[in-house]
Amino acid sequence: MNAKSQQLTLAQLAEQQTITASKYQELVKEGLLMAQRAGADAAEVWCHNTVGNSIEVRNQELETLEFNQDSSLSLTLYFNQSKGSVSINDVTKSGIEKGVKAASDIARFTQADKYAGLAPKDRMATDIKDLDLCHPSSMSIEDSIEQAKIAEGAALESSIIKQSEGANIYGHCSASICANSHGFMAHKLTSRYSLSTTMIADSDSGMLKEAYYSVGRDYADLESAQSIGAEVSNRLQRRLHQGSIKAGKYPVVFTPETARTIWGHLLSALKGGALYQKSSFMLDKKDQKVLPSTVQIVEDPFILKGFGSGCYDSEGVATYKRDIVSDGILKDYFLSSYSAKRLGLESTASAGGIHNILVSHDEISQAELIKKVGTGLLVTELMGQGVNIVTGNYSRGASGFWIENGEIKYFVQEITIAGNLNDMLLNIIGLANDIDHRSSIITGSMAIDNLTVASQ
Amino acid sequence: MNLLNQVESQLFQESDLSLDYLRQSIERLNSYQLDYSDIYLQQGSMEYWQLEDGLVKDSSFNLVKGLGVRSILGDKTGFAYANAFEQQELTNAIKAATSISKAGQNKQVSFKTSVSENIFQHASPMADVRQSEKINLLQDIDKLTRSLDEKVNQVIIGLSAADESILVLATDGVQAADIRPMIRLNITVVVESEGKRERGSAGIGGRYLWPELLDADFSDLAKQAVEQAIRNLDAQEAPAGSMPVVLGNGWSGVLLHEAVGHGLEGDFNRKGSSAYSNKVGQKVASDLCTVVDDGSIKNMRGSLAVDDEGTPTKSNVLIEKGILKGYMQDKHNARLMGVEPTGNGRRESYAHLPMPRMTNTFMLSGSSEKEEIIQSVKKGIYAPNFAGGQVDITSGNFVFSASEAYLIEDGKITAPIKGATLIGNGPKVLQKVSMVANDSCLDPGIGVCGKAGQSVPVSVGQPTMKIDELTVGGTKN
Repeated sequence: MNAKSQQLTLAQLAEQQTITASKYQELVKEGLLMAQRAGADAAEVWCHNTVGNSIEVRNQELETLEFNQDSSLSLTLYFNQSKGSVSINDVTKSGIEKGVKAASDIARFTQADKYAGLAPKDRMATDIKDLDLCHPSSMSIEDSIEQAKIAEGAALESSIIKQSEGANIYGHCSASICANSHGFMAHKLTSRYSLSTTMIADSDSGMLKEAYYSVGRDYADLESAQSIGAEVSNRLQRRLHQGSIKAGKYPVVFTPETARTIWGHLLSALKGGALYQKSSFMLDKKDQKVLPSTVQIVEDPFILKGFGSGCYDSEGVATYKRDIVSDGILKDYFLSSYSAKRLGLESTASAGGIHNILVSHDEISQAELIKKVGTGLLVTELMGQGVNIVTGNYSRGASGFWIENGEIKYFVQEITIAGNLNDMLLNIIGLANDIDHRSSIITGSMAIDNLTVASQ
Repeated sequence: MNLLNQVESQLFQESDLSLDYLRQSIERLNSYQLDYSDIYLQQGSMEYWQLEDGLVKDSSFNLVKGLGVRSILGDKTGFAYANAFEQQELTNAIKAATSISKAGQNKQVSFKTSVSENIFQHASPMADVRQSEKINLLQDIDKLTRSLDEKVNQVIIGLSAADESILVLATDGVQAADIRPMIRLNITVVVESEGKRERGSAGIGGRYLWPELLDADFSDLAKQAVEQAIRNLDAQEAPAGSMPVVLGNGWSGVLLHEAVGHGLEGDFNRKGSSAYSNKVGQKVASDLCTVVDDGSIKNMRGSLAVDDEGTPTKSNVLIEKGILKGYMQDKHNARLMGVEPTGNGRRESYAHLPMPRMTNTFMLSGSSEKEEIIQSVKKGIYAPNFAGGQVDITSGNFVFSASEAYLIEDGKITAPIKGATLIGNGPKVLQKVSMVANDSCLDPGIGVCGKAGQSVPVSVGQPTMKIDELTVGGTKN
């Protein structure tokens, strides 16, 4: 590589983002003024800018070097409860002008919705805490390439690897602004780094692929490149001993990665949109038992360095820590001000998405959970869409390990697991302490009794 | 005015860029020690209207523009992009994208404009349509849908129309432009009866304009959505285990897309990571299977006049009577594998790198009748509708999720069953295709394909067909 001098480190890019953020604040103010001049009685504006790079190394050579630079501007204008929304990737004064014009053009034709409008003014966030979300790294592109090579190299040391699918490293810094005609304006700077590698091994049933990644707000928090590579080959090694299983009803242990998807389905069903459209298996379940009484779920927007951390939602509403499930009882939903009004409730500061979700756990390891299950399945990978949020019907492709006498026996693939999420959630028989922090849903392994497993 | 000049004047209205400037930039790129370089410019807009509770109360409009510069040396790629059509931004992107190589003297490139068939109108689908007309259409469909059954509780109708102008110039002398329309209408219903709820949906779309959309049979579309939801209300538990499966025609082609399509994309095969790697000339499916990817079909959702590298699209036979014929290629992978590009180089936007992708992928008709296929099954399932699928191209394992399915008992379609995931291994399952009907058709224009974080519109299709053995992921053992 040459021409390196012109490539900025993420620390320099982050510095630029601070400038971008203040430039955007001026643009956003201007946008709100333009909306007012266009006759809108209320308006919301969001700006977003991400810069960084993404690097792919394969067979110890640089394969792809990608410079990322993405920006977007979104506007919603309200005219007597008729609204129009515009998004545009040109975050300049002329972009905003075009956006305001387009939004007012369409808003004039949309039909009035008595629930439409900004979130209540007294709910706007005023205390914007520093949640430690931005960590500029002084790594150069050469340093990043080196880290990816180390991760890939560590995996390739294992004799079982047939070939590498490469190692990827990225670092991104983002600036975002949220403002509305209540006078609310706030900005947020974040960073995100990830290092991953993917390997292929040959097995009796053909080729097998496995990947592992580490991700964090601060590069220093990532697992070492060496251990990321070693984890991939270890995982592949375990999958080489293969077998088959008989169809039947079994307890199933989900790894943190797969357990996270089940919690994701529950959270989707608790979202305001699904509820007011009556298309949720959690409809009318508030204050009812939806999980075993030992399970607690908390939403905490204030976790330092958290992926779902923030002091305000996308409507500017102040976030707060709250119980979603207490002792198995459903306590609260995820509502924007719109869905809250539709349901006759209050916003839960959930516009634009869910914050950090913490699932409680028992003081047992994954190995102990597997022992507890005795005979059944450990699911390490899930495939396909087969989840019906309206009814809770669940049927997905899976692969993982057969468990016998409390121990992992062999790898199984091309199987399905099926049930109904309402029953599955109540049939949770254990939550382990192998907590995975790589997502805004923070959970360990989970065991669910009585799932239907089908195989060839 | 030809398409190239039309797109030039559209893109560079308020810009210091021009076709001439881009050609000079390509010549500058050509001075680097590179195998290939291209500049891609894109400008698009999309409008969306949504009806809920009988009112069209959501509307949105999206504008996007930007340019991407890619340079390739061996199997190394450098890539940078910007969201403005400015000489300075282009210069910066060129500098970054070429950081994998060294510069020398400018080298001349002789440009040749890609010509292609007019397979769709190069226009914006709803440019001259009054907003009130769109709103009236959605409200008419809403009334129609609600009138079909009193169990209908919610109706959500979405209408989107997009147009995208692209311009691509490359160091191999290719210059190409296109204006691509896309329209889509979707009906989702929630039905309620005795405390039970279910959802059904149906949609249509493609690369055509508003007047063609109005030719659609909306009452049939509404009926499909409502009937699907109502049937699911009474659906029994689906069986769990391995059994014969009959797939309906059209949208069931999701099976081919997952079980075969992705595994035949050139990048995976260059790297040897697909279950179909190094298998050209080998038998990978039963004799009854002939599978084609054809991006040049008129007005289809997956169609392109030229791909995103300026290669004209065409019909590519992937599997002929069970024998693997070839892979789908973009320029990069074609060059490294020593074959020709096939018109499958696609990218989600200027900010994404092109990859080999499917366009319209389908299986040709066989000679059986649908009825005789159903009659041949003693105990199995009939699945005419799907919610999508996924594949692990390395192991070949794929899933697809039935959103509408029935039991077949003693050669007759009987009770509806709840949605279930079907799982199989691509190369193995296609060997088990034992009957293929004479009713091949493409889906109504609703497909979206995701790969490595990039989404592109596609179509799928197939005739009614029987797979002797497939694992059905129901709840009833």
